[in-house]
Amino acid sequence: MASAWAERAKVARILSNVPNTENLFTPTGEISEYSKKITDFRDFIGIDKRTIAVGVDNEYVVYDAQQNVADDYGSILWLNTVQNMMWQDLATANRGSDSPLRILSFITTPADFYIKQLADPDCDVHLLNNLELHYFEKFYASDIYDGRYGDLNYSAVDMQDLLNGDFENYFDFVRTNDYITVKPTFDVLKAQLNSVKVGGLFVFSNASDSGEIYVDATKIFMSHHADICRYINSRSDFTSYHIPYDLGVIVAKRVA
Amino acid sequence: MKMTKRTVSGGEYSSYDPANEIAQIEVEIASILYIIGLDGSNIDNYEIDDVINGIRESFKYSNDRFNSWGYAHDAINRKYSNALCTSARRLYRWRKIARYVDQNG
Repeated sequence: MASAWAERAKVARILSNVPNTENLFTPTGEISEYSKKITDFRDFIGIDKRTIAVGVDNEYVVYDAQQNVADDYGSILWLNTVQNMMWQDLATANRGSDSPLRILSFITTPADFYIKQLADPDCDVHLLNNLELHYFEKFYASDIYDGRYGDLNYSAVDMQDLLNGDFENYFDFVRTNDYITVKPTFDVLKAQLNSVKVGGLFVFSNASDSGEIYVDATKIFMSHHADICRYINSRSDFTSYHIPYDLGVIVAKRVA
Repeated sequence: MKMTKRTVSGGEYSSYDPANEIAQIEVEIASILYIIGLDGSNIDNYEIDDVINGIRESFKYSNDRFNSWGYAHDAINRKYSNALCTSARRLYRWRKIARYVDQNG
């Protein structure tokens, strides 16, 4: 029996008309092929799969789960990805500027929306220098991508430079997730928030630790993930909205 | 503002710099080692088992299944133990992959 979460996601998929997402998270789609290449690569390297080295971590299985993705899980992934697209779409519509939209982002799933953006001269996309970028360049951009939007243009940014404050007050839109942001300290989170321009938007997906912080009222005190959310909430230079459905998302606008 | 970035254009997709990523990962691993009282200046001395066991030793908590949160100190230690273990595991995994890419492309 499908979960209520998956059922809602399937209904959302049927009742939305987001362009170019028909084949997103389907067994024959590009992301399935992409995820298989990454999984094969990681298996080839022989990363440590013992319990003590893995624990319980979605990051470890994300690409395995995206191969030949099942209908229910595919709909959940679809919903999460489309919501990220939605926030960017809504936040940047009619923004009234001739300069390219400056974006700091990551690519875990090369959904068509993001690929099109990389070829769009009105978007100046910056991707963090991490293994996600390597996977994207090696297994998608240089391999699967069929050139349908022309060459892809973007810049790579090192985390050290972000932490040094080299990009403060620089981006119109910063999109991040828990794999990048949830660290023992708030340094990475602070650097990402500080990189948003006044008037710009910060979107943090999977703000709920895959729903864990919604399980009961104690979780917001007992979860480090909730501490991360609370830090965003404490920033007086941001107006933040925690939206507690699906994986949870924080949408924060820089106001000062 | 220094603002170093590697711009990709013309269909050559090779902006990933494994050495820079490894350097950042190693700073973060060293921080975790120092937190649990190990020598962060020599991270190659420690396998992931040493780090996880060190975290568990530094942030002990009860696993009493009849009282899932135990006492207050159990709850706090569990929170920090989980956060540090998740980070340490990811960092060790990412470091191994990034080092492979650095050496083999």
